[in-house]
Amino acid sequence: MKNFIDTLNKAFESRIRLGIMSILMVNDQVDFTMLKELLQITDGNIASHISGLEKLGYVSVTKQFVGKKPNTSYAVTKAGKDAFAKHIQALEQLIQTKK
Amino acid sequence: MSQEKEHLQAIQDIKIMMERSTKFSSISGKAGIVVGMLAVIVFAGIKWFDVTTVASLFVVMVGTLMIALSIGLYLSIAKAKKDGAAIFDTTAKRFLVQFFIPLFVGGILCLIFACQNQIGYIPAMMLIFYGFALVHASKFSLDTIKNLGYLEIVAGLIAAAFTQYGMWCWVIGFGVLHIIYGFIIYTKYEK
Repeated sequence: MKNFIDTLNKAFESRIRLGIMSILMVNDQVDFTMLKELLQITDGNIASHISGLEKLGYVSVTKQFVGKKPNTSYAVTKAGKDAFAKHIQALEQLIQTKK
Repeated sequence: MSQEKEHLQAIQDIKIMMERSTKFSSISGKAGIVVGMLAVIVFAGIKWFDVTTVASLFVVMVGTLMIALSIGLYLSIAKAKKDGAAIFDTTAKRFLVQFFIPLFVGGILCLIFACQNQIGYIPAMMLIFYGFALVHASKFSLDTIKNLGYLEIVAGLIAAAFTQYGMWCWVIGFGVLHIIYGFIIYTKYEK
């Protein structure tokens, strides 16, 4: 039997990263404020997790000005989508094989 | 064993985050009940005072719609505030845009029908487009409103087939169905 634990993606171990990815999967573009409100964590906390995901190439960051205010929005990349889908699949298989 | 629980928890978290970030869940059941009653009262008023001219009927209908939308909006915002829904802005905006696209088209169509003195089809048009608006926007809100939308469409089609009973369909669609679904939403999500 294949060891499913190995297929779990280490990048998504933290609950915050899991949350960020879940939100990005179902929304085309999400800005910083919305992420903060949904996850209810501090700015710095989000920023560090986002940059972690960005380094892995799972999340793309767009910085622009809306009027005079800087606005940063995030989107999931194709690689991020695939990795997250695989991660969910692995989770499901792990639960099913235990039953 | 605890690991399995952790995985289950992770899946749950994912589901919750996906829903919370896409669905506007502050639809107020109370608003449904109040709006439904308003429609019944307006209908009773029309029958009582025997309002039959095209212009006055149209004014009454549009006026009712405006008041109903205001009540719905006001109570939903109040509910969002009470729930502390910080994301009222994003999900609500998306919901409202999707909701008003079919409604706006239906409104214009009703206006065109009214100008051509085809008042008989107006209750049907109102019901059908309102139903489409609900079905369409339900993707961004509570699933329950999709069923309400289907029923409104059915009521609209009946109203179009039997225009002499148009007003009766109107009061069933906007009155009775709203009261029933308002009650369902209230007991399901607000208690």
